[in-house]
Parts: sequence; structure tokens; C-alpha cells
Amino acid sequence: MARIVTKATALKATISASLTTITQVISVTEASSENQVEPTPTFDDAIGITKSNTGYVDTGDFSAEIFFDKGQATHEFITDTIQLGAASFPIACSLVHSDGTITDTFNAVGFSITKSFPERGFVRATIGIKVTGQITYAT
Amino acid sequence: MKARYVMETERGPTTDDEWKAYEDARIAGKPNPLPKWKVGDINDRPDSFWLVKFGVAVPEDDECRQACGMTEEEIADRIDMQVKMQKAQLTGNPTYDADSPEEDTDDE
Repeated sequence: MARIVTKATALKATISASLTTITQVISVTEASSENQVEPTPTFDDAIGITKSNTGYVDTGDFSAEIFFDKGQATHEFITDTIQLGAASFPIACSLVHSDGTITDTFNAVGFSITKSFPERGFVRATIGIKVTGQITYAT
Repeated sequence: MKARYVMETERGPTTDDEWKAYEDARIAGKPNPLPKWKVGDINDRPDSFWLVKFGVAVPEDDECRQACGMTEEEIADRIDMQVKMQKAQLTGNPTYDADSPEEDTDDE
């Protein structure tokens, strides 16, 4: 059984036609991805509510915690995009595992950022990447 | 505005044709089919200045030079940081940095 270390994981976004690594990332929570199901009970069913697969895949948002630094160009890009709508969406993104051979890919249509100033420590931010369509998991 | 790449960089799709090729490959679980940006390639886009800020390119025209607002020294420092980051050697401390790849000494 293999365990993949998280150090050297790279979260990348396309900026000016180039896939660029977002810097100073502390942790990443990949967007949830699930088969969409809908309840389909009918009056003549048994009491257990039946569900059916709709054929769609429902995808959440990526979340990454970073040490925020305005001097880091990728952080500046994210705040500029939110403030000024600077990016041209969708943009291709990827999450490259530390071994370099596993890459999950997804397309983003927006960012979010929440900065935090803890009592002791360093300025952090949680960035959100809003996903459209499916995440492709490396096989 | 124009920026010139100083290191090989993975290309992201921007045109309709590129998106189609990229998405077809992505959904099929295949690698990014777009050719990488090579050293010396010119990126001519309204947002090319970001590449200079990231440290993967240098300004190729005055418009880019003005947009990135960096001195030559700052550009060089940014490139140095990018090189170190890609090697996972940002701290300068061998205890924490990744090992340098062994040099290939082919004596044949």
C-alpha cells in the first residue's frame, strides 16, 4: 500500500495561457465530486424513499489555505480577478500530486478569498476555486 | 503586450480549438496535449505581464515592461525564486530543501 506525501503538491491555474503554480499553499481540499441522485418516491412505493441517478456529476468548489502575501504574483492575480474581473473564464486548473505522476484536472469559473489575521502567527487566506463541469481524476 | 519565456512552461487552453483538444484529452484521462511554451517563445496577450511577475518570462516590449512595473533586478530575483520553487529548494537550507538531481557525467 502506498502513501503519497503531500509536501510538493502543486495547485495550478492557467494565467496568460500558462499553467502556473499558486505559491505558499498550506493545504488543499479538493472539490467534492458525486453522482447526482434525486428522490423518486411514488405513492405506490414501499416506505423507503427510492432515489435515482440523474446521469449528472455534481461538483463542489476547491478550497486551499495559503500564507497570504500581496507580493506573491499568484495571490495578487486572485485578488485582482475578484476585484476587477480580470481573468477570462473558464480557466484550466490542475492539482499535481507530489510524485508528479498523478494530476487531477478541472476548470474554474471564479475565485473567492477570505483572509484571516490570527492572534499569533501569520496572515492566512482561504481561497476558493469555483469549478464547472467534472474533475478528471488521474488513472 | 509581449513577454518572452525564460523557462519551459505548461500551456493552458485559451482558443476554442485549444479548449476542444484539451477537454477531449482531459475527459479521456490523457495528458495535456497542448505543446509547452519553450524558452524564447513569445506570449503576446493583454495579460502577459503576469508571466514576468511569476518569474517565468521577461518583458519583450515597453508595454509589458511598464505593466509589470518591476526593475531588472526584481525580474531577475523573481526568476531565481521560480527556479528554486520548481526545484523545491526555496529555503536555501539543505535540511529542508529537496536534493539536487545528480549531474549526468557521461564520460563516453
